[in-house]
Amino acid sequence: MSVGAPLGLLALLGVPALVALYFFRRRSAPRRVSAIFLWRSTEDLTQSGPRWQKLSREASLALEILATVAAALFLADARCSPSTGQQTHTVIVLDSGLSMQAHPGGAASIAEQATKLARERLDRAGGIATIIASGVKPHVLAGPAIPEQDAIAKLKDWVPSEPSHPFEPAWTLARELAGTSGRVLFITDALEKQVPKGIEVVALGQPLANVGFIGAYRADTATTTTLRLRVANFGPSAQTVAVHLTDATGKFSRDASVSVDAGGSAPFALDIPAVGELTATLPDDALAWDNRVVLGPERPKPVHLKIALPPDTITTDVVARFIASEEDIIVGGGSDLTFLPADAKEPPPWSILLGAPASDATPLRAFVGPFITVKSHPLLEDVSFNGLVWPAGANPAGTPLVTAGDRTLLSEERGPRFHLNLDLSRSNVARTTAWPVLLGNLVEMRRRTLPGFVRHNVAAGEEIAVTLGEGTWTLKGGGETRTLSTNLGMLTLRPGEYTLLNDGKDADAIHVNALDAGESDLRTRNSGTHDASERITSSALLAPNRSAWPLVLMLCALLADYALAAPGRRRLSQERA
Amino acid sequence: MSRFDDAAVERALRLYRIVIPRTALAGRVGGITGSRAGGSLELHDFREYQPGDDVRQLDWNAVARTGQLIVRVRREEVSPRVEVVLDASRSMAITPAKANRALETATLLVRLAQLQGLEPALIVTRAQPERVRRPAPEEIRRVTFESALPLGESLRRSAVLQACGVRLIVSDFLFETPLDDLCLRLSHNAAFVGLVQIMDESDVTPESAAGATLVDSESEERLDRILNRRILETYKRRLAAHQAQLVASARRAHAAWCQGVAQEPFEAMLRKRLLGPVLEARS
Repeated sequence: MSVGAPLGLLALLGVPALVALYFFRRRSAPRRVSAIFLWRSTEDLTQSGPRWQKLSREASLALEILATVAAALFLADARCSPSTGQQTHTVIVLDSGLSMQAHPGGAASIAEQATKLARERLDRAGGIATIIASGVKPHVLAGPAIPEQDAIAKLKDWVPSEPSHPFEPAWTLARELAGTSGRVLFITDALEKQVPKGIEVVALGQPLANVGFIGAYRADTATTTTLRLRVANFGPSAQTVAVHLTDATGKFSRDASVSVDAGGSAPFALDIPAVGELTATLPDDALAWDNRVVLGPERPKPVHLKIALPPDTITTDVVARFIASEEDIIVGGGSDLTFLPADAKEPPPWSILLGAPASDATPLRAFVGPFITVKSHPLLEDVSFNGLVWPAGANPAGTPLVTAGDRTLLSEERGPRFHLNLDLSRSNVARTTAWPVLLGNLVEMRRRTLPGFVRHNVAAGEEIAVTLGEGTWTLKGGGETRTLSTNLGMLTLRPGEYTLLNDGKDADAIHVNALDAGESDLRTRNSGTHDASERITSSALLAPNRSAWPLVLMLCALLADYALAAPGRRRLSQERA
Repeated sequence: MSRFDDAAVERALRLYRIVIPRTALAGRVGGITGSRAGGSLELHDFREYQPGDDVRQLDWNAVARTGQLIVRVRREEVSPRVEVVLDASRSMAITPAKANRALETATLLVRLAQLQGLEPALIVTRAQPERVRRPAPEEIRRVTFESALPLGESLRRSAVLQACGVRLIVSDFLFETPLDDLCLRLSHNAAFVGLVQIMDESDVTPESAAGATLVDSESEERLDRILNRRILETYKRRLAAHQAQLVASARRAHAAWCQGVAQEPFEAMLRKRLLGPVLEARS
């Protein structure tokens, strides 16, 4: 049995008082009378006989003691199982911002201090506990409502790695879990001014100078790597900061320096021959995580083309010219996108059928405009139709995307399969910008549907677009491996390096860097406490989820006592009246 | 300390006698005319002579007037039974004065009956009522009041009452019994019933107290009461109502009722309370 409010046991003082009253009443001298019925009121005549009356005083005392004990148990919130107790429920919200990793002058980090404080508070409070890590999406680190020792054990798993985020979602979650009887403690590194009632705040931070990366960008081509970094100085004076660059193999290494004003930031740009994974580091200071960024190669996913057009035709030639002008396109080795003649049977998904089949019924007809287009379609993005001469044959199947007169010039079938109703031998389309833009859009549409990450270097807190194909997809990194749902779409990751696996094989990789000016700025951090403005003990007395059995027991005892002793009391009150 | 007052009883024997009613009596053959025809001097009836009749009872005047043999039928002479019912419940000994007064009264009545030539019997109402014929004064004095049963309940347990001439009940009559029923039962088969109510001073005027646990003498039932003036007045009102009901019930049963208080001198009680309803002065 656990006791949620030990002060409630003070009600047990009523027991000796009751016993004392009982013996005081017994001290009144018995007086024998000839006719007790003359002393009774009318109501007494309906009561039970002498034996009942004789028993009533002792039974009444026992029932009154029972009621007092039950009341004490109710006030003390006695429970048979401590695991469900709400009275001693301590909910701790840990600020999981990256700034909590700051090391003030060789002392323990703020996170370590927060862990120590949380452990002390849980040890002192006892009972049950819940630990919530704040974040863009706050999550329950321990609990909800588990024994405090289990919660303490979970503290070692806590790593503050969230970018700047509001605390309200975590506070709301904490208050909901604590209910009206729990205690909420928020441990952070800067005293918040707008804290809801009922939340105690302890800030452990202190103002520190810090220099760190707040932005990183990398772009790669087949031959070059472009690197853009931004370094911020959150210190009281201007600094010249040394930047060290190295690749994963160690073959590439470069040192540079960046001058940054106090409170300002400065860019750092570098164009170098293509390299693999690059790591940029700054000298150690109060915050370590913003002194290092790792950037992997940022190249588009290659699209494998299959060309099934008749050889030595103008169509084949103009397609080949387009392929030659584009990077990250590979002919052969796959069929991500298939080029087919217009009369091809059963074209596969992601194919384009080129040609303008004509007949006597629908002879070839050239259009110069006007062209009616579905402008919102990604295939037609930035495609200009000005000055085009478009000879078209019979209308193809599918949903029209471009029409002119009574002819469909471009259509889309389910799959998708595109029909380009165009006789390139009699058209100027291949010599205009519309041609590479149209095919480029088609390749990009296909590229976006290929499995893997759209970007390979992101900042913590950013939503990451990922496309998953067939098979089982898992994400490995950040100390864990998790299976991804095929309809995931977007996800958010903590800082670190992640590998996307398809059926256990490496499919893609992404680097998540902690780049957050708000968390790197330690100048406004401070320490202090803010007491909960709403005391829980008052509401705890009326906690709706308090165990009800002592109350039921007390009421039963009182009713039984009333049945025993009420006639006498009623008589007395009548006589007094 | 109250004691059994032999001297007072002795003095009373010379002053009083039990009231013998004019109504028909029944009992053993004795010096009191009975309700049936018998050999007394009092005329009961006339009838024609039957063979075997005492020729001395021929009423010659009637023979002369009617020409028929008419004999006088005289009342029988009886020695009527007197039943003295003594309530032996605990409430009768709530104080020694009350117990002694009950014993003195019962002794006096038994001895008066003996002196008057009656046939006294003492009935003591215990759990099983006892009937003692012609009890000696010492026997009466040894009666203890230990019964937990009120008088009415005790009498209901056994048919101890017999047809008699005079039935005198010595009790405090402070119990919860339908008094009408009780009085009718007491007056059944009795020519005369006298209810001698002996009460204690504490029964009549209880003392006030800050708090007391009232314990019923018979049932041991307990009540906690603060004996303030208001509660005492309530008690007195209820006692007066009980008394009034007792008197009314006695009247309906053609019974005589008198009340004495134990703390009152015995002679004064006899003179003021019992003389008239139950006793009459010797001439």
